[in-house]
Amino acid sequence: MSWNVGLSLGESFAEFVASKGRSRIQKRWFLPKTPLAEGLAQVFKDHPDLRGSKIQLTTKLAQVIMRHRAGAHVALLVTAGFEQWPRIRQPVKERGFTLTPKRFRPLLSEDLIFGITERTTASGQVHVPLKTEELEFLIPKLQLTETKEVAVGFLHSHLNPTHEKQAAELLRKNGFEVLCSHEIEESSNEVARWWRAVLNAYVAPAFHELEAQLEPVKKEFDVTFAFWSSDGSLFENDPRRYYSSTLGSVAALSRFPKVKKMKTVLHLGLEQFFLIHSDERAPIWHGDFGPVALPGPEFKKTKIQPTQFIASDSLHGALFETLESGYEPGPMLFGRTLRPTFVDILFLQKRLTEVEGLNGLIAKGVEQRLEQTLQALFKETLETPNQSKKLVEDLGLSILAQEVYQNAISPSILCTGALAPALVPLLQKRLPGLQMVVEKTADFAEGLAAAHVTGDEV
Amino acid sequence: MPLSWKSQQFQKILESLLPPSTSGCILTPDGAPLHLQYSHLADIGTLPLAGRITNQYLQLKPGQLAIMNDPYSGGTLLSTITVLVGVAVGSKTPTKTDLILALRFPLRPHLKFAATVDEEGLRIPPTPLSDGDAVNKNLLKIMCEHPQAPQGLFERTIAAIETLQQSAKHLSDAFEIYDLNFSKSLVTNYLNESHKMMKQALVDFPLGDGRVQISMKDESRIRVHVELTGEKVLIDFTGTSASQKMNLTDAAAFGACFGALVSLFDQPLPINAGSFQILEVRTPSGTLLNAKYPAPTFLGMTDGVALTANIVLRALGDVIPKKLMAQTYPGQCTLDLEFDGGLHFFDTVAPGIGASPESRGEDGMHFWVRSPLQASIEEIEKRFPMRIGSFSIRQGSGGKGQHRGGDGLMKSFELTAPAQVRWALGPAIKLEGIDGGAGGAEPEILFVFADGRKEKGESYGHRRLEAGDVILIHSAGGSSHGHSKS
Repeated sequence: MSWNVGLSLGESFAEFVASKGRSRIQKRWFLPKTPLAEGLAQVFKDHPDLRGSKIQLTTKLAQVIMRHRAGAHVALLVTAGFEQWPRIRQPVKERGFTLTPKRFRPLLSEDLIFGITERTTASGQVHVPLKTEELEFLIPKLQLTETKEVAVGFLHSHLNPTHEKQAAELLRKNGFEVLCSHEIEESSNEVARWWRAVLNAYVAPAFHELEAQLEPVKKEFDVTFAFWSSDGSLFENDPRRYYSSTLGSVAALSRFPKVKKMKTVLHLGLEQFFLIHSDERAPIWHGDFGPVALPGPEFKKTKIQPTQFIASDSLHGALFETLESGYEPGPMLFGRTLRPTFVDILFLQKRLTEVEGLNGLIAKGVEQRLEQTLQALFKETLETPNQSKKLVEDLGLSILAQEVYQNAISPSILCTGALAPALVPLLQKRLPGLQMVVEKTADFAEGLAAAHVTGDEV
Repeated sequence: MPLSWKSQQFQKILESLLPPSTSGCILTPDGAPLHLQYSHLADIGTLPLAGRITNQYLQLKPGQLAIMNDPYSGGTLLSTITVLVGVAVGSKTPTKTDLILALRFPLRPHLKFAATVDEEGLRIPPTPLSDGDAVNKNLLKIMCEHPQAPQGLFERTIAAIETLQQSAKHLSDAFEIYDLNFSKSLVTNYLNESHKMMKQALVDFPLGDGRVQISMKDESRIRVHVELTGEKVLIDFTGTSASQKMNLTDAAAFGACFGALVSLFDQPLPINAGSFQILEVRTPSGTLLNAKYPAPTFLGMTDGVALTANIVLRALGDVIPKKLMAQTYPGQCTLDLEFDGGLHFFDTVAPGIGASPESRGEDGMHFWVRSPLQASIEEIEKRFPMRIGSFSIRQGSGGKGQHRGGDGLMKSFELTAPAQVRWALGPAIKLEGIDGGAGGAEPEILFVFADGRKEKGESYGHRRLEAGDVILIHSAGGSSHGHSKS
């Protein structure tokens, strides 16, 4: 029997799980302190019988690249006349009326979106042939701007990809890495497919870099790596699917054996809280920049997130902001920042004592500083500011419980994630009508799910 | 002091119940709104009225359903349907309705230049829709058989009712989750605190008044006097004329005024009966802002509310100069195509937004509508016999100035089958900038016929088109703020 090995790469934490029969090896480490390759090398040195394994990876790399807008310089070619359509279709940021409404910032500058004369009809017939001379004129321009990645999106290309294939061939001959919208398996509307092609191209260099980081580990310990895709399959070295790794961890969690009975998973991880409906599939995922063709399990990020900032407002009182701090520089309990987050509240309420991987990161004396910060923050806006940590925790858990209740599609919910053992009993008190079951390997659920362990071995 | 802790929890419950990005309202049985979500300006004033009138006539028991769309009973467009349900909170044997839930959803509108509201479509007054514990599907089917019933009425109503009933159940259980007791005093305190919150938000604004009049080319006019007293905002439309074309109900006019007020604040504020108390609106009877049955309301509920809100904003800008916005054209550039064979297409093309004192306006966006994303080009071409030739920014259409107006949009439609077309670009008003800035470009509709002829259309009109004919719509540019540097 060989080891099932999974690696969950979060933004700040890596979670490694290897399982064989009833044996299990698990480790979590903080990536800013211990780089990935170093952490992995240590694991393989400590457990030489893991050599030769196939390691299944889930990663938040694409999300990190998106959030920091740190991706490749990508050009997008579209049907002429629709160069500005991706921008026009961007969602508006503000839900309510405001004097200066703005759209979400598009991923690409319009300077990098080019229209090419071509047209295919809604029945797949070519109405206007592709003008290759326009491409030939464009190629030197792209080379001058040092663009290496190009996404191609023509109308109705999923019905007739001829023009996209012609354009891709010409561009690849000239050294460009090309991602085409017709290669997105699920047919959906043009903007969702175009954005997916762009996103694949956008994150490609970061994935190439990650693959390069893993190369020495592969050679030294004779291991291979495969990424989880949002549709639940695995892939290696496939730029057409890089962006689909965004929901890889969700897909992996949705395949936990017990989920088949319970249908709803509540994941309470250190970096993210979310709900999954394992039986339901969504072909389109709605990001900040509009809809993206990304088939995967139906999933929802909850309104309360672990590193969400806590604020105080003279009109509303206590607020959970939409901004999250992440773990770099991290919540106040790491001693490097001044704004409290929900994880800081949980720390003060002693909910984090059993969470592996955090103890070495908590700054000395931070408890007192946190208490003082909260008192000062809520001095004018809560009737009892010295009760603020309890009140804010109560409010956060109530909001979370309400959302779980409204989104549960079965009477039982499987709960996973490092924070599940601490938070689920508190949530359960608020939800007597739902059965919330903490998966016994909850604290390393992401790594375990990445390892794709079957029911017998859990 | 902000909301008390109990009110904060109550607010969180109310905010969680209706699906995001939908229009809806949670009200007391006597029609006081506790929470309101809107997609359109008119929703703000009309949803509470819809709840009040429906419950006044039907006395909804817990679980009982109702449907309506009548603009004169709190509806907006006849293609926009409101479903309502009575809810008992927390009781094990509910017989008394504690709250009313209302959910509003749009079907495809139909532009008709009608003389009366009943010619615009099927008008549904508040109507019970329960058959015991179930939905009265037979009655709904009868409504759908009416020749003017909007497409999709049956399926979308059933779906909306399922959502509504689920929200009603969640409302009932939410108080247990938050460990909060629902009571009359909870509601009263929440509304009183919301009123105080709005008054506190008003404190930042100077006192004073402003007067604006806009005259349209058909000689109708809207006149407004706005006064900020410190505790209240008074808006008086005395001097406004009647209109043949554009009519709003007073509830829709209230919604336009409150929407304009809401847009001034930098942070979200609750929209409920408490916050409504800071606003007093006078819309004299007989004017286009207080239309009576059977006046047609389509144009009033679309372009009319936007125009009203714009005028109020302009007048408020005279009192609060840092909030003085350059003009955004209120018209939606509406296009309605009825193909032979019954297919019906409807679209709007958004204008550029007027500049603010600090920044240029956004391009091609409906200022007073928050609705789902525009339909995909591929989906439109799959369903309708037409090709969208192009969809782009109308470069240079925003007014030039220190802060430029946002550019409008250009959209072209090539028909591949004959159709009857109706269009409404919007009210014929002069577009002006602020403080020396230039007005944005006016909207246009152009026809390029298959035989090569070209023709420009009026602001409103209808004609027949053949396969091969092309319609080009250019929406208005936003006006600008301040003198241009060049």
